[in-house]
Amino acid sequence: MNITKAKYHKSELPNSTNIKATIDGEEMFVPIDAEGNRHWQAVQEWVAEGNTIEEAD
Amino acid sequence: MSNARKLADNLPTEGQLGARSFIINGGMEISQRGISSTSSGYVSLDRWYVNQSGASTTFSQETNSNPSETGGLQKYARLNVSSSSDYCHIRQPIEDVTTVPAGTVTLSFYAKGTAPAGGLYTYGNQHFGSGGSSDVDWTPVLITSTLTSDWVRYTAQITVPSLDGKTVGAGSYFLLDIGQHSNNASTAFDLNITGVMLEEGSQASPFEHEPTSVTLAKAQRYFYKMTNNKTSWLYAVTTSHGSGLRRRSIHLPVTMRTTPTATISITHTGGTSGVDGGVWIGPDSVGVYVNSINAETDYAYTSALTADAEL
Repeated sequence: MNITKAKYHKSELPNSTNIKATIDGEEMFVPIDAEGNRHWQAVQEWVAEGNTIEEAD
Repeated sequence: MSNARKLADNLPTEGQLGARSFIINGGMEISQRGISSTSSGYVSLDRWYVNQSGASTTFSQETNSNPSETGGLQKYARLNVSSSSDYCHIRQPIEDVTTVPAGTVTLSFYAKGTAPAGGLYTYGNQHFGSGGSSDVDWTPVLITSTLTSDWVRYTAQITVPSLDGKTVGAGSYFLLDIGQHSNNASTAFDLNITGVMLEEGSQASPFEHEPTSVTLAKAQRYFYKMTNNKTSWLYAVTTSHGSGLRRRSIHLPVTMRTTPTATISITHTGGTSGVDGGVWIGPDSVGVYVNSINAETDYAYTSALTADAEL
């Protein structure tokens, strides 16, 4: 997977944070700590490579 | 003799009589993402992943006008490779590495076209998931050196390594690849394939037909796509003009393998929209929202949604 952007994202509801990421050119909402989710796994690997998830607005 | 009689006469009479195949969408019927793509990844036929590995490919769902050639199956997959590379293949990860038992399993399918450089291989590994044991490759098998312009049913026996002593974590799977192996020639090839079965034991049984609705439900455990459903209105949860909130939970038709990644298209006048995270999404439903909408004059509905829980 090619991740070009990742940013924390939350709506106005409590406990609603996920990651809005651009992966392989497509914008998607990646759940945090979702066991077995391949995009969450890829984001973790992307961060381990030295990249940073932007803070939410 | 009727086709039903022929089918009945060829069914196995011992061993597992139903749900024999570990493969989903082996008849290449379901293509929620679209019927053709030149990209890598999960791009067309459900559950089938294209590993380009540097090759140029078109992966598509095709229709056979003579389904008697393929055991009654009308649909097939075509991996048309104009410039190949080593390890260019299609693959299917089978959920839970323990699903495919140690010992001999048999792969079978109909195929025609032209074979990759070095022949058509099957290979793969046991992936033990997050925190699990290291991956174990199983021994690659040369299925055939050549394909022809006629449909032929091929079989191959695979030796699945023992699972004894292994630690299995979340997201484990048994990986089955079909395509070019380690030969690094760029020679074009054209794999047309359908009726894929992977079953326990050393014998191939006839392709196990099932209703399309059953295959779709199996596939939707991993991927769901909703399109042009303009009845999915988002409803007001506050009427405050300044911070008017619209919400809806999209209930998925099948409980997914894990909490999915979602893409969304919400049509709305005013405000900002997206997918809720945290406790507002799970394997059964996806929460979507529009914030800061004028509750008296604005409207919002979900026009497209995908939920992806693929391996």
